[in-house]
Amino acid sequence: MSLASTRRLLKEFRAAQKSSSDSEEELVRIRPVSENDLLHWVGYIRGSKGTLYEGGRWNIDIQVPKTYPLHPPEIKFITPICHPNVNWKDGLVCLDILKGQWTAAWTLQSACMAILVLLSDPEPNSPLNVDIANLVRSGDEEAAASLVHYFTAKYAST
Amino acid sequence: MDADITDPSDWLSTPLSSLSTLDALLRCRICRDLYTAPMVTECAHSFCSLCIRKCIAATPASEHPCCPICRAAVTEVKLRRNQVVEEVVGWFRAGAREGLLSVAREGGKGRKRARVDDQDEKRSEAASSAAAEVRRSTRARPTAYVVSTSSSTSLLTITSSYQEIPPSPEPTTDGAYVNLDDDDDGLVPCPVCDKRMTVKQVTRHIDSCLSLKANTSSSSSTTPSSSTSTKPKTLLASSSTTPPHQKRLPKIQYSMLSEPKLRQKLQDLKIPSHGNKQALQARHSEWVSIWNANVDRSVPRAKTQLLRELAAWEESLDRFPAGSRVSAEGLEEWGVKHKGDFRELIAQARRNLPKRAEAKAEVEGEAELESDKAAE
Repeated sequence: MSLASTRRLLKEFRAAQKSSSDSEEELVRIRPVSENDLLHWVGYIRGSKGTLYEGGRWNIDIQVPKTYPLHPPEIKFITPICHPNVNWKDGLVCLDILKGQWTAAWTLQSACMAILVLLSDPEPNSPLNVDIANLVRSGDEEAAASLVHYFTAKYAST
Repeated sequence: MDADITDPSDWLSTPLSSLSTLDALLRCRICRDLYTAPMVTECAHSFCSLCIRKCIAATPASEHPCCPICRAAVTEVKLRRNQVVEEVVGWFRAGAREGLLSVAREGGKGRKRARVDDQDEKRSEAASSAAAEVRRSTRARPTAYVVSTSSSTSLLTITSSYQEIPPSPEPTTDGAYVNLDDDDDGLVPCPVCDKRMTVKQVTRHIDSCLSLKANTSSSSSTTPSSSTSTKPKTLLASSSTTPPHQKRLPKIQYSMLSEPKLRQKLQDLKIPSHGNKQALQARHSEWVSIWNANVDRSVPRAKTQLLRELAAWEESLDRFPAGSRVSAEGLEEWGVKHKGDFRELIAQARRNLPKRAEAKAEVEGEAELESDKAAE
């Protein structure tokens, strides 16, 4: 890993340390697995209030490439989550900024915030989970909501 | 290394927490460090020269490079130096940050803690007056010198350099900035002849000083004309003393070059030229970024330093695909597993050796390599 990448990740680590208080209010919290390996982070995302995902807490895993921040990190859900743009099996997220639209000005924290926003604003036209995407696309909000609530209660309730 | 990792959040726990914004604004959004050779893009965003150049170089050829903040198209040749930001960062980095921060921390402590003795009291007073001073100065009103006998010399340099704002920080050979106002005499040096005098005197003195200099060095091709005579010294210096080799390197269309020709280019630049075309291309591209970013610095570094940077970059490259990192034990295991294969190859090479010696028959590819090794 180059010096520039290390320095940048150290700064993000410090920022994450300082901003974090383990309160219920905090929607995104991330940290490196160990201080010796800044290329592997873990954390969680909480569903924000007023959304289908309120009350859930999903663990995430972040793999940072050595060329960071020139290339995007790979973020996936460890806890299963029922969402049109998240693969049910491997937890991979379909989000443009984690692919071609990534720019070096994004940070791990801001990328996680983008995922949080994606939870309440799904894009069912490029689905990774066809079942829930079809429900959302067909406008059956009640069915989609109950499905999300079911899986949230089953896997991600805190 | 951890010690020099600074962060805008350093201010948050102090009474000067609003300076966190200033601190954040003086940082490149790519590396999150204080700007080094800041460049402004067409969309008016600023980045370190090296950061934005690397970003542009990392953009796939099929896409147009875009600004990391707003995604507007950026073109490398249209990047321009952001002189003001560079000077502000130079001042901030040279000690103003540290000075302000220690004053702020001291002030924070002083408020929380019961005042133990006279000296402590005095110091915290100085600190809070410093805080007030800084707050006042943000209103763009020149402040009078704070001539205090307290130990807060950092305060003095902060307020005095605010008022005088030198035309350009005086760069030293090692790339660091020297605060021009380290002396507490309240005088400033003339940007032309370095003679120290009061601010008022400088404005009067500078014209006569320049005309004097123009007369004495009329043979020099860079005699300042009347239009450039108000330029700060460093600008004159950088435009007149830039060595001819400090030119930006052009980008290369790598697909148009064959491997030997590319290798020749690298040799001409006197940088390592081993590896296949892909490695050559990556190395050349990195070197162009490092080199051009160095040209953008007000005080460029020596080529040896750049070569070290290139070597460090090469070192950091991941030569193995992700997930298959080879550890020492892994290598050993691999050796044991493929022992038979190695023996086979060595035997094959031995067989080929006499053949080659006799008939100089063409031995191809790996077998040839192996026989060379065996011959050794």
